[in-house]
Amino acid sequence: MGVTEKNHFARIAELETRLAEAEETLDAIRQGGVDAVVINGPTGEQVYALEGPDHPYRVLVEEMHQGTVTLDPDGLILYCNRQFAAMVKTPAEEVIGSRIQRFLTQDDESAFSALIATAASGHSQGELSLLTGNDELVPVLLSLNRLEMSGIEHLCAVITDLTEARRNEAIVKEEQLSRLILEQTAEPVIVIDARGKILRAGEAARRLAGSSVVFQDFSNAFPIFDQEGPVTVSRLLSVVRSQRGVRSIEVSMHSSQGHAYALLLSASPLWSPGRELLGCVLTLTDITERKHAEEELAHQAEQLAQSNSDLRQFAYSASHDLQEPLRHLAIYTELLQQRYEGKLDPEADQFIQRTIDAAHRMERLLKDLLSYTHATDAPQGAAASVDANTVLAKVLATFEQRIAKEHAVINSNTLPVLCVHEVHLSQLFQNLISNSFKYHGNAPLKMHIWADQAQDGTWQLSVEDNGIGIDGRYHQQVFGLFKRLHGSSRYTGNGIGLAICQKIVQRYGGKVWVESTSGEGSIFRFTLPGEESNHAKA
Amino acid sequence: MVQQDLDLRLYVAGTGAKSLRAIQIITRLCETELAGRYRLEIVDVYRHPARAVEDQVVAIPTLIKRAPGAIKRLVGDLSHEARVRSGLGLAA
Repeated sequence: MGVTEKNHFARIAELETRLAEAEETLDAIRQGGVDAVVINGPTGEQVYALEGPDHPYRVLVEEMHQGTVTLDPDGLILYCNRQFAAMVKTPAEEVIGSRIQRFLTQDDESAFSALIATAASGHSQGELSLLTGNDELVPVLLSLNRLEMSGIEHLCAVITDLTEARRNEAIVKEEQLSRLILEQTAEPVIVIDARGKILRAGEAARRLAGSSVVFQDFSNAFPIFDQEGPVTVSRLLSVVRSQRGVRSIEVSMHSSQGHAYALLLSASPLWSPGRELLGCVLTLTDITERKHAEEELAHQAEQLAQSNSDLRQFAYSASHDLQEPLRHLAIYTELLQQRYEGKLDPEADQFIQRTIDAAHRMERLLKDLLSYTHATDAPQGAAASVDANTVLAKVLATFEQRIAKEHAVINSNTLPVLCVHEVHLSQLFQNLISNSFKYHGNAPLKMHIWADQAQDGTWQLSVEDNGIGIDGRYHQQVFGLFKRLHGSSRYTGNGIGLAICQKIVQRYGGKVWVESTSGEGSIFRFTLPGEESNHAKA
Repeated sequence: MVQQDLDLRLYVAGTGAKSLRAIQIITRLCETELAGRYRLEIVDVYRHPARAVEDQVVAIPTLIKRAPGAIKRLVGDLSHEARVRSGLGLAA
């Protein structure tokens, strides 16, 4: 073996050793057996720590809730953290090596270029939208910093997702609005969830409950009852669910302070987008005062009816019972006149005559009073359909002689069928025609009677004459009891006819009035229920 | 004969200066000269350390040419364009 050959072997052995060393070193590095490597650079040795002080920062950047991206000035993405990849819904491996423009809308590209231009002098920041891999838009705040590393220019972008913030802003605005509405309404408004927990309540609701009610159970805060018993949340929600709400149900409640309330309950369901019942919005309108007022009014009406009935009874007894002694008074005074007329002095004869006149007048007054009280008493049975034409004909028959004697003319159009007691209608015609005869002036009496139907089905009857008329000042007065506008010397009567007319019309829910000018005749009008109406109160 | 697409895998380490530079250079080179005829996969060893072991990568950055032809590795600074071109078999 020559020297050269020998040298070659030695050289190979040496190289093998160095190779083994190099492989050992590489293996050590590969298997994590070293902390650092020393590199012989142009500026001397540099130590590169393998698990060095930058490790915590790397983890921080990787785990932070904001997205970070390292870009070159053209927008080529050289690095992105996990959060950015999540934000754009694209794997980091796909993000790196692609261009940021891929995640921008066309509208935002120029805005982004402007941000890059501004960042050239250090820092820039702006709001834009990121286009995700699913073509969704994510509102973000993007802040750019220029960075020079080993002579190469980079841009570091920190991206904050504004979706939540925007949503919160919207929620806060909605919340403020609904809170304002809730607080402004005078009605107690309560929002409950599907388990009956109170989520919201306005000031009025707090006042009604007597304390703060939010997050309490509805049934505890507002123990309400309807006719079936306690209104439990489950019962309430099942009704709200099946009937799509509840409108103005009367309920009662005894508050913790011991107040009794009458309330009107209304409720509307709150559905989720998936038609799941989330709860409901309730109003509890306090009608306690109104209920009291209604009860008080009913009580007063009852008292009034009682006292009216007492009065009627009194008027009836008085007029009826007074008739008997009055008749005696008249009979004995007349006897006195028959036996002693001309036997006493002339003044005594005059006194006796006046006493007799007074007794007869009082007799007539009592009779009228009796018929007035009768006008409010219901005849037997309910009001029936009655043909006004027939009734008028019967009444006119009683005036036959007078019509002939005074050359009176009484016409009528076809009248309707009315739903009244015949005796009442007959009394109305009787009194009005009788009045027209009484106050007809110098010319012969002319009368016209007709009817018009109103939209609600009631009839308005008009009785017109050519008499002396009534001055406007007295249009109300004439319907008063015993009201007479003229001295009894010229026109006879007690002033009870129109009072009876009014009383009759009123018991059918109608009205009576007069249209007239002094000296130019009168039209008396009254309203009565028609055949198919149920206005009849009798 | 149809030229097979260039299949590259670039191992980088986070935001290391040489890694960022490597991404910039390789991406640009591929985009300008091999548009549509390459596949470039960028692997961050911090995120996928196991893959670095699999490919026996020791130093970062490492560019591996997987196809066509024999597997070829370029380790370290890739800013010498001529070196990269010859490594990838591209015309100088």
